Amino acid sequence: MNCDESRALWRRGVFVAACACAMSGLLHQAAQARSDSIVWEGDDQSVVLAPQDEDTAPPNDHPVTMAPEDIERMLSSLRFRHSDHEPDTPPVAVFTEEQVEILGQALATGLTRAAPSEDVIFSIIGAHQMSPGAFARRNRLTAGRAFFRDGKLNVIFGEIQSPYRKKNVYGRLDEDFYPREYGSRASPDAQEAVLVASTDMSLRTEPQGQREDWVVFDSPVAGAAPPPQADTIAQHPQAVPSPAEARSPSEPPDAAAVDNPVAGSGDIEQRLETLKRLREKELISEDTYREKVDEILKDL
Amino acid sequence: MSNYAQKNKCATIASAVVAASMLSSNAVAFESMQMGDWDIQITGNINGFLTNTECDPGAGPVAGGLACGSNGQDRDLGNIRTGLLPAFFSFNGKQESENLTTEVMIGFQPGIDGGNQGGITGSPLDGGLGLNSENLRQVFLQFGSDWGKVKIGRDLGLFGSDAILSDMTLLGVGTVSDLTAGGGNTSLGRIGVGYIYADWKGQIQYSSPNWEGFSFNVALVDPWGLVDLSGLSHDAGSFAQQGDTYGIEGKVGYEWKGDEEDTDDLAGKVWASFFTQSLDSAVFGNEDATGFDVGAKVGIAGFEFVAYYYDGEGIGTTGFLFDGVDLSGNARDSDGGYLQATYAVPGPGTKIGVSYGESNLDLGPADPATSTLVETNESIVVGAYHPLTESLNLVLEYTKTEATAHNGNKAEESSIAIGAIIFY
Repeated sequence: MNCDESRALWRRGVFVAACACAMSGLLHQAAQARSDSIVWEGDDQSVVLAPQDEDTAPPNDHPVTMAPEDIERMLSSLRFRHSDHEPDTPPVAVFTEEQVEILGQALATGLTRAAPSEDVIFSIIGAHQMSPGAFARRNRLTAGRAFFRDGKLNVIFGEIQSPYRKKNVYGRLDEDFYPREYGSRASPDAQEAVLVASTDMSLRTEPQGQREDWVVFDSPVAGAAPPPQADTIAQHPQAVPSPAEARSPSEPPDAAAVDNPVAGSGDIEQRLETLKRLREKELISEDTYREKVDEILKDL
Repeated sequence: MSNYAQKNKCATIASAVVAASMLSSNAVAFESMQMGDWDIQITGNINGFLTNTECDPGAGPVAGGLACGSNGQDRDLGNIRTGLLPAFFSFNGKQESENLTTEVMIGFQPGIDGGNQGGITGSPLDGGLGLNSENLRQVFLQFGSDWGKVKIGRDLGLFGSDAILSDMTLLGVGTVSDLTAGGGNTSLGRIGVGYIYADWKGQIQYSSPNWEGFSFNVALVDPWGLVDLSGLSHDAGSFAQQGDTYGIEGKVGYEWKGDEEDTDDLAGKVWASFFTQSLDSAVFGNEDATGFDVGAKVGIAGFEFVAYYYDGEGIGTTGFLFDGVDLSGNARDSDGGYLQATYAVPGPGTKIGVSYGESNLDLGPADPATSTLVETNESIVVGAYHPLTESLNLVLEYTKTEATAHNGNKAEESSIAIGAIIFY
């Protein structure tokens, strides 16, 4: 190839590359909206703002301020059971300790930024022990959507500790083996894992029955804590936990933190006053108020 | 019932139970595991197809033509074979420490039909004690952090990689050709009929971080040798090609994923890449093999469209540096591309696709105008790819391939393939 031919080839190449870059620039502007919706990203994991899954869904009570610690306590209390296990099989924790910490921060941030027409959707990967004391752990995916409505934090799960795998296509591991499901307000798809109700939260009840994928938390007062700064999320380490840091799913969270309706509250009188304020502001139902009062009075 | 019959019956029942459980969508044979500090995955696929191919040689041979019959043989072929995607058995390990992520990957890729001679191309007639072919295509280590990743080893080349990864025949068979008429390790798919094969290359590659969808890669590639597929070109030996000139490949791309929950949201990628290597010869002087490509893939509402174009000198056609240089040592121009449209039917998820592609090779200064050297390899593919489960796809494809020589000779191939591919 002589110099003229070489220069012609390079000019063609530069032109082609310039076209590709120009096209990329135009598309980048269109994708900027997605960038703004990202609350947190880890290694193949994310928490993002997304439109509600149904056009007819009533608007959420967003934006709302919730303390990360309160969300962490709620997530720590979640238990589930595989749908093909016997009902008397002990349920296990949905999230590891590190996942709770990440999601507590990220969901709190997302809820302060979400519009009424948006949910906060999450997909997070954790290493869960195959059995108590086992050396090997399985990487499992949990995904869903969170939103605040009627004074309560709602979380609908599309995946609970589903197998996390990438599909090998011509040596590339870029594609999820199974499409990620983020849960839906509509009737749930067949679930392999079902949530187990506890005293601190309830499963949503619909005419056709209880939703075993949709949990509603009796939330503490919204606005009681300032929102976390966005850069604290960005500085958070990548979320796939090392085995040394991952907590065994069989270890329950602090029981006192689950039963105490207000994180960090002191004596019984303070707890009763807090419950009364929550009821007066109609942030908890009458039934919940009476149930919690009974629990506190039993401690006398 | 005798003990043997009882055991045989039990084994048969057990096998059926295992097979049934494997077909269940709940069955998970290979999970991503964490052992100590390492995340471990075993991944891969196995595929197999029955192909019936009619080869029409036309008036004369097409040297370097990819339609079977280009060698002048009028024949019909039948194979039970691997498609474009070789079977993969890959081990992938990843370790994350405070500041560094390290990764290893090793895989081998067997094919169903190696024929009596074995090897990558196979033979139309299998014979007793024949061995199937296998490749060792992938072995590399990779390390990186927020600043990007460095890969050292053997892996898919950059130039032309997105073209083959976007090709729908990756799940099927595509063009059979005289080259792989016997089955061999794989079929050609759309290799040489729309893009140049990216191939598996020893390389040191840097991958940038992903900046909101933008990323780039650059690689130093093992020196690549000329190949004479047509019989009308120099190969590395006859060209007296020096072996000390590394190749350089690079790629820049932008990818956007759209709303993960909204299939009506636009998603896709655009890319551009290049390759360059000096072809040094003590006899013919120095030439340069240089190529560029650009491509785009966009998807919306179940539709997906791919457009790809490449252009180069000295890079040849079909495979890297295949017929890239004429018998006087001059680089030949080549170009090509393909267009593809697929649609995933809502509900069953069956993907229906059609694609057209062509690759062109110009005459070099020393080639006579009446040369039988291939001028164009082109094909049209129509396929249906139906997911029985998340893992298992059934495939039905029809491919019509034509090879046209500079002197007008034309060969035509018609091939129908039916088979399955399972990912694990």
